[in-house]
Amino acid sequence: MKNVKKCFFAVLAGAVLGNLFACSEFLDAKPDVSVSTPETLADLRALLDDEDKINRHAPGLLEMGTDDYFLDYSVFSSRPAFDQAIYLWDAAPFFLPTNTGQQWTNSYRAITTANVVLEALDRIEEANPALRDILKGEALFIRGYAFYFLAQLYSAPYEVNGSNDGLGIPLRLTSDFNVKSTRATVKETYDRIIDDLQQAVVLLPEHTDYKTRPNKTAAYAALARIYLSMEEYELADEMADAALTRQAALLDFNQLDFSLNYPFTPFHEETLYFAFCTNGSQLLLNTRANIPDELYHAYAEDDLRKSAYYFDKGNGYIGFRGSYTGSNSTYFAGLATDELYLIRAECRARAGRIAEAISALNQLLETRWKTGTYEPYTATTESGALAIIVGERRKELAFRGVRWSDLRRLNKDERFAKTLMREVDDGSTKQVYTLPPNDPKYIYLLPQDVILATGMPQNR
Amino acid sequence: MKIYFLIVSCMLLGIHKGRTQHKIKGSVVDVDGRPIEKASISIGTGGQIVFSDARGLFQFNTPLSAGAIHISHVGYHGYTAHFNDSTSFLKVILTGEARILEEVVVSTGYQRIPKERATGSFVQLDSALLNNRITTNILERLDGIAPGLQFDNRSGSAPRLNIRGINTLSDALTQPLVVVDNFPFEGDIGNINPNDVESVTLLRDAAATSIWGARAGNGVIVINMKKPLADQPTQISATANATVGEKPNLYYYPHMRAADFIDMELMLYENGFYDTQLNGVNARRYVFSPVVDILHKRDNGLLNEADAMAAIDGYRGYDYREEMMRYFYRPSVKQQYNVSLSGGDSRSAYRLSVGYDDNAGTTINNHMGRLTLRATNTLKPVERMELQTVVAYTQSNTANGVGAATSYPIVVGGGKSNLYPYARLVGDGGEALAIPYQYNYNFVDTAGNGKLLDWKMRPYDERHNAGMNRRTQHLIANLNVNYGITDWLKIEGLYAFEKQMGEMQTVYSERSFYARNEINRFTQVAGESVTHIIPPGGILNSANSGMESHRVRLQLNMDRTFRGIQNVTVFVGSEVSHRPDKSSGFRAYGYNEHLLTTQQVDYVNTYPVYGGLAGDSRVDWYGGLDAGLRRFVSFYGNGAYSYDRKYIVSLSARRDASNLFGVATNDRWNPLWSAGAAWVATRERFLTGVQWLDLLKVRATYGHSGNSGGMASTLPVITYLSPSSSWRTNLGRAMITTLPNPQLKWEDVRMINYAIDFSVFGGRVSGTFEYYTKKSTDLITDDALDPTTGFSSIRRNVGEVKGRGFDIQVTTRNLNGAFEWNSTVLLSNNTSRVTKYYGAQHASLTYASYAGTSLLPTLDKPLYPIFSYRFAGLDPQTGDPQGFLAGEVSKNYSGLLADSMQYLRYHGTALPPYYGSLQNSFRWKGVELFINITYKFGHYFQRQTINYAALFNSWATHRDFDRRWQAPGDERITTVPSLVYPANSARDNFYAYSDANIDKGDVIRLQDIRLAYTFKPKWLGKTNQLQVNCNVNNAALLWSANQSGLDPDYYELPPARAYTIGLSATF
Repeated sequence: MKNVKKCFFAVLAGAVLGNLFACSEFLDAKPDVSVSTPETLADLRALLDDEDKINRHAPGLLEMGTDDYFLDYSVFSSRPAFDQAIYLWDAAPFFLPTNTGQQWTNSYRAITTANVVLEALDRIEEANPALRDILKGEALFIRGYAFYFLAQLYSAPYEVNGSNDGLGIPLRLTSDFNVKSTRATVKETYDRIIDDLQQAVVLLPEHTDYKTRPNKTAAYAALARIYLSMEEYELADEMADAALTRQAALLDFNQLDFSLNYPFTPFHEETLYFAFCTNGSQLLLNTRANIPDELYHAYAEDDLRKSAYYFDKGNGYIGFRGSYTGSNSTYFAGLATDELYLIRAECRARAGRIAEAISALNQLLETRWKTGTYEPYTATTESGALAIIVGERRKELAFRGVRWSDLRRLNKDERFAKTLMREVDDGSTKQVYTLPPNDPKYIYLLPQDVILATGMPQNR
Repeated sequence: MKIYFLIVSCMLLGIHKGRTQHKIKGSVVDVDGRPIEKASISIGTGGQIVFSDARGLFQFNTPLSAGAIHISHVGYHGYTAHFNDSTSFLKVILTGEARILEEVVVSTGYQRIPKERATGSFVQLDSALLNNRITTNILERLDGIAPGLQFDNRSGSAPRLNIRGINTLSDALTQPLVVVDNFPFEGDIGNINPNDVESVTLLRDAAATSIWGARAGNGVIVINMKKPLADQPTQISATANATVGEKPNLYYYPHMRAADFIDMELMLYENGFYDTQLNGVNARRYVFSPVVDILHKRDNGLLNEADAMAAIDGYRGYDYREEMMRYFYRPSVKQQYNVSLSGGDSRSAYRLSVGYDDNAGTTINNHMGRLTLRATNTLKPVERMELQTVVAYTQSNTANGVGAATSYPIVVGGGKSNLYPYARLVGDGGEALAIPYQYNYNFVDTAGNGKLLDWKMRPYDERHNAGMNRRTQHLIANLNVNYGITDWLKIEGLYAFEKQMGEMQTVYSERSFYARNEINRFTQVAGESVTHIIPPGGILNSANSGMESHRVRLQLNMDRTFRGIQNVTVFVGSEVSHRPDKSSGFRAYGYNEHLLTTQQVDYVNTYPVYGGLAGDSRVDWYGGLDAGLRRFVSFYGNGAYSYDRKYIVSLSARRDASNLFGVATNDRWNPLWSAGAAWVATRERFLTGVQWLDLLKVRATYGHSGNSGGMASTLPVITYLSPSSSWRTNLGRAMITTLPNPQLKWEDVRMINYAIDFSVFGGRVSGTFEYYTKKSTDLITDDALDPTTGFSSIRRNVGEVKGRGFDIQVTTRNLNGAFEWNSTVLLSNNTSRVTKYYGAQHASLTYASYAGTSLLPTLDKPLYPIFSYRFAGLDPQTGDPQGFLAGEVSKNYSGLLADSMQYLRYHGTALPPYYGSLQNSFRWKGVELFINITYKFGHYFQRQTINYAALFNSWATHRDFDRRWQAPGDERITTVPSLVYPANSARDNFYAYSDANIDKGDVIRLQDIRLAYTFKPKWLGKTNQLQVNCNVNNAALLWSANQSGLDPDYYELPPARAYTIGLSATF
């Protein structure tokens, strides 16, 4: 009110003298109390805790092109054109604004939020070194992890012995929208992802109270997954090790309540970092997506995953219900310990340490089967072990956002290369669509509006 | 109120002997004895016409020894006087007809100026015109009577107004500024009692609006409240009106018949459409109709074929609209009462007014009551000083039913939208019947084995189980002090205080479905033990809002005449406004409305939802706190110079600053200005001889006004979020709402206005032609941004809209004798085109599907553009809709839908470019008849049609189902595609958005009829006035260009015809 008074006098003076001057203090008042600019570390903490933007941005495309599901014709035919195009691996799916939003912008929104936090940390002078490290570590983790998702869709796969100078993804490192987006090379892309996460490993705390916030273990787990996708198996094993020494707990599936619609509870002990995707739900909602026999029948009857993950839809089809989010979200996009066992197993098998590999796998599977029914795997050759591990990897990590990435990686190996097939049967004619290994369609087109806005080169 | 008060006196001054040429002199004056210039005097029937001069004098020679002359002048009632051979001088006193008084004073909110001296574009609407429609809200009365003011009523309840088109690309900024007396009205305009309104002034061009600066880009509506007059005996006025609106006709909705719907369901069932949902684990979460339920029971052996079919056939004749109209709807009844008392002497004057409105709405639980009190006092404590105080208080209470099941169509959820047509809501014994709602009916029927609350929805009971009550209190306290330093210089100080408090309570009683459902979802049943996470009882949502506004203005006014013929009026001033507002809300569970007790719940932890209807969830939360603040500081000035009331120039300027905008103070200031000139040609000597020409005035203005909006910031803007029950953690959180965006400016509207005012033949024909061009620049729009920034758009000043148009108003006095007939024609045109736009470009499907329901700026097109896909007829073999893809007839629907914009057909805009009205008023003795016919031309609209995918999946029905292609040959008589199973939504959408469903919107409607009888009984020794009136509003749609029987002005039900009977008295 003091300002009001002051200004009233100013107005009086203004009217009489005809002076035009600003009552700057009076006009500095915030128009809306809930709106502000990031000025405190608490503001940054709040930005990174917005799970809607930070933990839920994963692109649905990461699961929409895999062989882990199929659609009935009646469902297929009622889906919008974009979903149909993605389902059939159309060479040029047309991104409507909502598709661009879900498959591109949302992840970049998380990246921009991270950039805003990193920029604000440079500006804000508040002293609290511990919190500053945590915030910086989280921001870098979020950015690196989001870049990784995008690279699995829009960048060529990383070639472990290649030059990797092909087209990667745009690496936005600033919140200034006037800075033009350009595509980095594949190498630059992965260098940035690794760098962000390596920095995060150093900065992040050992423990966090909330699994929506990453800790050191989560950063190691992310690195393990990323190195695996880069075929850097030694490094992947190292990272998995670093994570598993910190947290190795597995969930005993015998303890699950199978009568629940969704047997897993969110934040259960295997979860290292909680993230999920809701936006591919157009196709992947369990009322729509059916599980192919090939996958469903790969589980033995005593394998509890068969009922923890799947349910009979009553119409002759099987649906998925085993999300680690504990709800009918599209897929769990976070990190969990079970994946680390599989990474360890695969990396050690590839390194020729067969016994260790199989032991890691058995350790995991022991918890997946009905108590007393599990017969441990044995293997003597690298090939034999790998075949077992790769098979179990698919079964364990269904709808976890890794299948597409695995297909891109494993297709390079003739032993695991696979041609994917989709059938569209409208009752009178049956059409079959295929996706051969290493097909250019494993790299999605960038949304057309992105190309339009930036002039960046398109894929293919 | 029209005043019929005619005093005539004829004076016999001398006697002459009869001659062949008889010379008669006379004078024409008004009731105050002031001479009336250019009154036309027609003598006898020979067509001889003379005019009065500047002193009101006239003379003529006539061969007649006796006869009649008729004297008329615009703004006065005509009068017939008789003469005979003994008459030599006639003194005629003409009484004013307030409505078309030449000396109209317009108010800008800063000054009151005679219209004659104005250069800008003003429209004055007096209370007589405003009373032709009886409404609770003053703005509703302006529809169809003001040239250049357009009402977009399509969305129903809240019409969107625009003055001379739309000057912005932001939906939120399209509305004109509403000023009540001196200041923008901050509260809800529904708090103004129309009976307290004296007149409304519309400010249309820049010269008129620029004094309102950055808030006037869309034009200004100034509402002038009634004020007490000095030296007036005590007067009591009372009015009472009752308006009855017809019951809504739900059959207007082109929905499907039950029999057709049932046949469709049988077909779907046979095709296995429901199998997945019926047999799946999630079956409990889906709503199934009784028909599907019966078929399912039959297939499970619970019913035999004959019984099943008999039961199904039993449904065929129902339509729940019949029950809804009978039990849920009623004719609306609105009562309006108002009493005012006014009076004054030379030192003080007062006006007190009390109004009460009681509106019973068309749904049975809708009711509104409003009490308005207003006291205005003027006082002259000392010479040269005037003080005016206004205290006004309004209190209103609005009650409404809540819930999706209390109005048509009932939205059922559970995967469906609208309820199936054959639903029954009330049993033969008058008992409420349950409908499937949100969940599978069989699930709620048995869920919990009696351990849960009843989980069924009965719409008939729901009518009284839940309700919303909103109570608004609004207070105005104004003080104006006016001091004359000299007789030409005045200083004026104004303070205005406004406060509005709103309380909204939504009560879901424990009987309501809403409360029962919330409780059941969070009930845990384990064997015999039942745990309630939400305590049984009602649920209360409470929301409070408060707004307070302080405005101070200091103004210096100069009005000085030099050498008798030069006049200078200048005012300069400054004002400050400070308007904080806040709101808060909360929810209470276990609410007992009689004891006002509530119970605590756990909002922190998640709990399983009964029956696995959803994943573990938190108890639903409602409410929060918010506060905002708007501050403006403005400096303004206005000057006008007139020479001999012949040449007038005006200049106006204003600078605004607000706390909304920018971080750097320098960017806050936004200067806006205007200039105008007028030439009153009829005051030139060379035209004074042209006697039939009463008035010819030419005006031209140029200027800028603006729109404030958006927020400029060099730092990202973040917004803290309210908690949400869907979040996994309970952490405080914020999100980035805007990236750093320091360059944002205010929108600018530049307008050039040319106008001619004229009056001929003693006011027989008068009117105004105005032509304007507009250029709105720096329009703030969400500019498409590289999505890689994490945002798909950013607000930038990149838009430009150019527009032009005209407003014509012509009034004719067709009959001028004892039987009077006046007509007014209004015709307005506005064509605006988006000339620069870099904002979001959408897929062609967006343009075709929105079809004019959204501003949707498109380069080179008007706002609200209507596009469609080109329809190539139905396939004669299959009844499939066909379009053109790459020049070929095609059935590639997804290809057609994604076709490039350039192949879409552009029709025009959904906002009528031409609109206006024809008003006729007739008067004979005390009887008055007013008829207003309104018209709108040149626009288009999209008809809804059948969408099979939506019909199958969500029960969105449409009567076009009847007209579908069924056999070869049908393509010659219909455009509605055949039914196919499975439905193809792309096929449906292509047809729905094709040009087969675009129609012309042109309409002519009989808007208002008013019949009034006035008489003047003499009671208590004075003349009083009584008036009885009957009005019919929304009388009829006279003509419509489309043949579908749809009213293109409304998306939903057009407003019902309303009949008013009213009584008013002045003592």
